[in-house]
Amino acid sequence: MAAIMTEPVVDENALVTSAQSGCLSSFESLYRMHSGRVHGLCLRLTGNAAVAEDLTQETFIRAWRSLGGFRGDSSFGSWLFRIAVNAVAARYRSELRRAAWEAKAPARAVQFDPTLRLDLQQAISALPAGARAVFVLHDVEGYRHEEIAEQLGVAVGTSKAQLHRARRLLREMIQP
Amino acid sequence: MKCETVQNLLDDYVDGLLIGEEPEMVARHLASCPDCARLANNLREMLQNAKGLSRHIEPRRDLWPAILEQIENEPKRRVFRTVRLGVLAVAAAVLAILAGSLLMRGLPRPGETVLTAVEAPVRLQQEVLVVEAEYQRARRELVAAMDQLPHRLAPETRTVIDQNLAVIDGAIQEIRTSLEKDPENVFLFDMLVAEQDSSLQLLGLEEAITSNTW
Repeated sequence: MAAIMTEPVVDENALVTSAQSGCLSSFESLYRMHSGRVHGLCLRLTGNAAVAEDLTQETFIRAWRSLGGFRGDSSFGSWLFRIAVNAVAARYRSELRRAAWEAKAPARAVQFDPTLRLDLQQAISALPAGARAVFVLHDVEGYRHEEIAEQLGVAVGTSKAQLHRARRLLREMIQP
Repeated sequence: MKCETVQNLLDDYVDGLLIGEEPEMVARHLASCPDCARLANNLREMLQNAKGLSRHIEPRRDLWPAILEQIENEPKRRVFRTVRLGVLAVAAAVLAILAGSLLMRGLPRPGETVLTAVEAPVRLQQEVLVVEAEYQRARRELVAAMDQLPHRLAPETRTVIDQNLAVIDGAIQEIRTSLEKDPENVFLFDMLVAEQDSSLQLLGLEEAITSNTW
């Protein structure tokens, strides 16, 4: 009879509780479970692999420091995600503010070679920071404008304007 | 509706955010304008692709060693805090044990001044009032500090301190009851002096909490 192979059942809540009491090995397990997701978000938000790795690292260090305050009101992943967005927003705060102003002006295409047809992933990376952040959070991650505005520290209207701008720029970049 | 107007509304249209007659007006325009219809379809396709992008992208290298190194090289705040809070918990426990053990004390020590039958009750009653007032003040300040600054105390430490405060309260109540039965007992007076010391130590705890010196 063939042996039945099953994935080990990992109790995330137990890992969180253990990490809260100072267990680094449990925290490492949480890192292994969530690093890809957090890094994916950071990479999409920044469009830069080195910066994304730096911010992923920063997210987990911040999470370790704040772990005592995690009460389980949301999932650990959501809580971690929020820390990641905050870390990215803090890094790009000045750039996002500048982008918020730019969003009030008519959208203009970013510099790219019109003869090249970029795929969506490349095109997102080429967006200005503010437009990229809102597009990723709204259209990739599914956040609402109110949540994005709160997380990035901008007005809801700014978030909507940035989304409009991002979609317009992306259409220009990826469509023949 | 003009093409320019429709194209400006296209984002909200595909997101389902238009209200009133606008969605219907945009839909009618798209049905009759191939250029705008193509834009709308391209937008939908792009959004569909965006939703389908992988959200899980592993870093190019394992970041855990660097994270671990930074965590381990940070000031040992968590450990330090635990140790210091542990000291405070022990201090509170000592107060409780002190109060409890004093209740067990019996006879007067050799050479101690024994008040007369007339002096003792008056003096003791006065001291009871002073000591209790002092203790209650210290207790209120400690509890207020713990309530106002809960983040400076681990929940388990707060529990230990609350339990010990309850033990001290119980001890005071027992002294009070004993004094009612035996108002001339000088040793109960000693106990109340010890309790006063305890209350001063509680004040120390309160200062430690508010000044964050632990």
